[in-house]
Amino acid sequence: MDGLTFMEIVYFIFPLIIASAVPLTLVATGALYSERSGVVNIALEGIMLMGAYVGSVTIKTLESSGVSPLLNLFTALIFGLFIGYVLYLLVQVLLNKIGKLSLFEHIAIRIGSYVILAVFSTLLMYFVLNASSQNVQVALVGLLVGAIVGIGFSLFHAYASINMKANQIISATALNMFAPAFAIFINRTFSANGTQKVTIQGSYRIREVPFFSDIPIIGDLFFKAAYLSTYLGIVIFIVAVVVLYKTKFGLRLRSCGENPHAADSLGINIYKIRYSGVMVSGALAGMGGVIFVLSFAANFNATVSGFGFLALAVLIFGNWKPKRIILAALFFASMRVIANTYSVIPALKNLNLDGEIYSMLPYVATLVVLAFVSKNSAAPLAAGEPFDPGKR
Amino acid sequence: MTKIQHFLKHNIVGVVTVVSLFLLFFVLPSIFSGSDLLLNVNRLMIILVGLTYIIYKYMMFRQNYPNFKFAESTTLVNVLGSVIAIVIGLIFGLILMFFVSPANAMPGFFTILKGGFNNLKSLGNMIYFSVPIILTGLSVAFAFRTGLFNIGATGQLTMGAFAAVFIGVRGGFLGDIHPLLHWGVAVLGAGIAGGIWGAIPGILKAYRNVNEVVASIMLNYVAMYLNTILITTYIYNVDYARALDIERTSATPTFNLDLLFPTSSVNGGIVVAVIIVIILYVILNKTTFGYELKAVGFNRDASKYAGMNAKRNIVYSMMISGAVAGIAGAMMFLVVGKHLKPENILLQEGFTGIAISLLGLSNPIGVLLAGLFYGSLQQGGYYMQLYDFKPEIIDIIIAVIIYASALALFLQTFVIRRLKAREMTIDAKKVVEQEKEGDK
Amino acid sequence: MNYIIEMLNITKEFPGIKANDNVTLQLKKGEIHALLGENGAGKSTLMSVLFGLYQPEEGIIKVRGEEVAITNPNDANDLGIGMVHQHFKLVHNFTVAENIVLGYEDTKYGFLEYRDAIKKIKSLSEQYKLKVDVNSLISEISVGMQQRVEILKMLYRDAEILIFDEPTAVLTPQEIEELMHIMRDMTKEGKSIVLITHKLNEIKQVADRCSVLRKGKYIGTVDVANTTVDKMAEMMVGREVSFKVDKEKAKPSDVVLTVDHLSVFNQRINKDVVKDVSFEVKKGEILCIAGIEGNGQTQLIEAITGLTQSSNGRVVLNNQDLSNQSIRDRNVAGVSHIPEDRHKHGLVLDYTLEENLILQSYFTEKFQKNGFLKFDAIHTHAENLIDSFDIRSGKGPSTIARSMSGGNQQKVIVAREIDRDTDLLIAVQPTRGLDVGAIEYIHKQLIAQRDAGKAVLLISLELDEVMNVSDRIIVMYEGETVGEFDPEHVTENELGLYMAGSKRSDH
Repeated sequence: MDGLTFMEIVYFIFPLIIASAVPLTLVATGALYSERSGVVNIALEGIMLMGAYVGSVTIKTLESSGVSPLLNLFTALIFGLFIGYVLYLLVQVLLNKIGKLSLFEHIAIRIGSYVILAVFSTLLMYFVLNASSQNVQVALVGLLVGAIVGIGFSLFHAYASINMKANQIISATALNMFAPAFAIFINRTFSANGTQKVTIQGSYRIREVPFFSDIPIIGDLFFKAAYLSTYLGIVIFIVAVVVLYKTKFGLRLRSCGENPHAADSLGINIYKIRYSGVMVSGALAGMGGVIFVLSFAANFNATVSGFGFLALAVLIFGNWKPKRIILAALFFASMRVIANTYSVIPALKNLNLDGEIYSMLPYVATLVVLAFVSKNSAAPLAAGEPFDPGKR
Repeated sequence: MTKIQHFLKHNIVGVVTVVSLFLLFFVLPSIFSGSDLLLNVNRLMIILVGLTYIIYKYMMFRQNYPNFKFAESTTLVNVLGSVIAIVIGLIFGLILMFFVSPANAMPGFFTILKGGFNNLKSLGNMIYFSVPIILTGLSVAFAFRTGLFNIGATGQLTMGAFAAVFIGVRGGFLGDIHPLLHWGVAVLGAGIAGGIWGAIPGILKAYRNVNEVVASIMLNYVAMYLNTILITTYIYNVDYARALDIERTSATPTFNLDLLFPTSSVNGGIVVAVIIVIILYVILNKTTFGYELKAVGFNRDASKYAGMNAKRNIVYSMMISGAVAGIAGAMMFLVVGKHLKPENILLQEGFTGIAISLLGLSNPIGVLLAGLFYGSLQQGGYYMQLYDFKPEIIDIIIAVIIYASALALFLQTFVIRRLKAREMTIDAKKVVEQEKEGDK
Repeated sequence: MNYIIEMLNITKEFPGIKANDNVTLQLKKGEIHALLGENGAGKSTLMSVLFGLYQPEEGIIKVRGEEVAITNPNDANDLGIGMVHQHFKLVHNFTVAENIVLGYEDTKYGFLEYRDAIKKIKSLSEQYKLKVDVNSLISEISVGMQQRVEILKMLYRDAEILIFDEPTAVLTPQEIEELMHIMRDMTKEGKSIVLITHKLNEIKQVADRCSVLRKGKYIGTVDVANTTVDKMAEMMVGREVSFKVDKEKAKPSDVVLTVDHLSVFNQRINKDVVKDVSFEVKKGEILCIAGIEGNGQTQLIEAITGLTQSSNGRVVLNNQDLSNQSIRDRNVAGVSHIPEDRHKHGLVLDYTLEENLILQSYFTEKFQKNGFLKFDAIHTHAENLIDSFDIRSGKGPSTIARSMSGGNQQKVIVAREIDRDTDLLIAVQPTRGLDVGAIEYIHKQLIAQRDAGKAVLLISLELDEVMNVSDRIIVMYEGETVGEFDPEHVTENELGLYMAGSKRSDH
């Protein structure tokens, strides 16, 4: 493959980088929610693994049995509610320009537009799903299951660190140990040949997106050989950031991570907010786990290769800020991809370095950033500290 | 009281431990090599040591605090917390086993409970497998006692393992030396490598105020990849995709323990572990150095106010912690037939150490017991395969135990609150008494 | 019924202590009602009950004549009750506007909307002369402005009843004066105010009525106009208090500590926080450095004890230059230091009493040999000090310091530092947060040390303490010494002017 031109290399590598960067960004965004609400969540690795495990078992099962219309409807409903919310926000922005409305109109428009949009999106989603290939149906169910499992598993961390005021590192370590042991134990016990692997048959790569792939350069970069999860991930990221910085919930969540006593004195329920933060991180990590399996491995082998911890590094390298998280995720993803593909890139091959050097680089870079930039760190002040109302 | 009596009074635990270990490892093997009686003698010894310790503690305690109430002792409540956590973990395991295979659940469960105390071989294996866990547990516990969370034991262990194996493989440069010395140099090398790796987050914490948990996590991965590079560059056995065999001279000697536990994998690692337990116990509890380390850990500002060099102490603490983890790596791989592999996988022993440290209440002796308990569970998991249970259930149980002990820490705050309440009533009572006296 | 708030027979218990024991507080509409009591008398608990942070075991609360249940701060807000906390509850990386609206946000179609909020904040800030910059981050504004933000937070929620918890502790006299004006303006607008304080002069100055708590019990309510400061003090403490401390005239002899043109530079704010300070402390005298909090006293002491590096000047103890010595060397050379914050610096709370008592001397021959601690010596040492300083604790030397009461914790520090028998004793706000009994005890100890021929350097924010204990006073303002006085020949008002920086004498 020595003869590859520069553009060919870019076309080859770029989709891989995006495929890595999406789960990293998603999981790091989850961690951002958790830390901004005041709970340090280093259980991301375990949560991802749990999501990946149950998600891939689901996918494997559905691959053989097919997706029933009822399940499709359910998937469509969940995604419909979400997409409906996104559309709803967009409509609100437009309505905002119209001007003052009476209270009744206000409420009617809010509820009405959401219901209409949600129903509309659900139906649309349902028809799209029914029309699309089984792989798309399966993948969406898998992602959904991953997110739900992630939420469920993260509740253990939430309970320990929020209600029981336990050491958050210890509780997270317990989850990180539990997840792989559980996955291996159950899978080895119940699989026919006693293996710990869950093998997925189908390929979940979209060959090309109609119409968009015809756009020069961008079409080649973004709309060929991509994953459905990439687009889904980008949408979720944008929504997550908007919610965090532009809504009431986001403002309250951020205040809980900085000064929970201030928030408490203003009647904000710290426990509720922190639970939400951890659950969002659980959902995104669980979904990230499924994306990991779908985009890289084609099988689940009781590991997510340290992606959860890498996402933590992304968060720190990104200084707890969304824009920089994206850049950090792209950088880290590039390093990961280069570690596996450097031998086809002439410039790097000539350097004659081990692939591990590239794999190591993100972690070293994070350490350097920690060492030299930590004075200006935007880390939430109260992250990791249990909230004790008596201590004022 | 004579000097000897005085010494015995204050160091009874140490004396009993040393004497029993001496009996256990050196005297007994030569008397009964290979007989079945030995297992029972061993059990007896362990029970004896345990009982002596408990009785002694109880007596000391009654003497010091005649008005003691159970719920007002943080130590006892913590021990209770550990026990409850273990019970919860085991029950969870039992439920899971019932779920998986109801018929085999009870016999399987008893196998776990029996654990390493099945036969002499399993007892030996239990000791063998518990050594690295005890050491990583000590590493985490030592850092924890000095206020630092060393989640990087796995990285330090990896670096230590590489250093040990490197010296073990390329020992030629040492010349023609006594085998014990070759082994000693390899262990020392592991300690130094682990110490350096541990010192990095220490330095970052002390001088750049970087959270040691985050730094250690990053260093774990750096160590993992670095290890692969180093193995493939310096000591690679291409045919088997693993490190070269170590020279026999660098393997951990058995100190005759193999006579005691025939056909098991046991080696002298436990002796190293016990020595380190004693060293760390003495450092933490008997020396000014330990007093400083703990002060820095509890309250960095106060230690600075008292003229201690807080930064230096943080680095020392992480360095010692890292060195112990590094030695754990040496104990794992200075074994004939075991090989480091360039697999890019984090060694789980480092994380298990967190569990063991927690379970052992960060007390070196507690860690020793907790580590042996883990070894026993692991043997139980091994024998449980007879009943068609996969051994990973042990890791599940351990994870549940850690989770439960994390929750149990709240017991401690509860006790402190009660203590405070009691102090206040005592204070108030004294005021009243004094006022009365004033009236007279 | 013209009471806007009635708290009747409130009892609130914590494990081992009744923080409020059958307490009654009745607030009239439009009055400023002071709530007076010593530290630990139960003022904060009572107000936390009113604000919904604690639930009382007994008693009822009536607001505007109707019985209500307040279970969380939201209920309090809805009833128009707002609290200005002593330790500001602000989010440091939010703007002033964000802090004010937090928990009470306006949204338009799901998104945060600040336009109306800012309009309202601006009009409130004009109406009550509370100048703030809505777009600044909290971390960038002064303490005074932070307090204005706290007040605006309450006004923004249309609070009718405002609770001020020790609002003057961090303010300069001018700012205090301003605050008093604002409070009076508020009552003119029909708002009612509860002022929690232990400063009698402030009550006399601004309050209409005053309720007194002592050790959790309700003592009584008086009309401020018809009572004297002494009477209120007696109610607060339970016996006649003479704020005068008995002491002989000082007989200063040799110079012990010389501070020579000392400056401390703070990199973070890029300026000198201690500027060219020079003074001497002699054997047998108590020199007091007075000033409002945050005028460089803390940094000055840190520079003398070595906790902070000085940028210029010298610290000389008994002719030995300590300027570049480590903290340990300075301690050994003869500096004892009762630190400002006993939890942060003074004690290792998780250590036992005996371990805390050797914090400054564990490395000496007396307590260690070849690096090993001598436990018997440590134990005996602790027993001796417990005896001679009357430190009260349940388990004697092996009591965990965390479980001890504040007064006894302070006694541990005082005992440790005095026992070291050094020529210089530095005491920084040694009576902060203590009740009157403990305060008297500590004052006596300081004077005993002086009479034993020690040089004592006292840093205090409380003017009473400054006037009564010291033999000589230096006032610091913005890092500089602005005057030196003899307590016999100066009035509190005069000192106040210097402390506020409106007067200075060049000497």
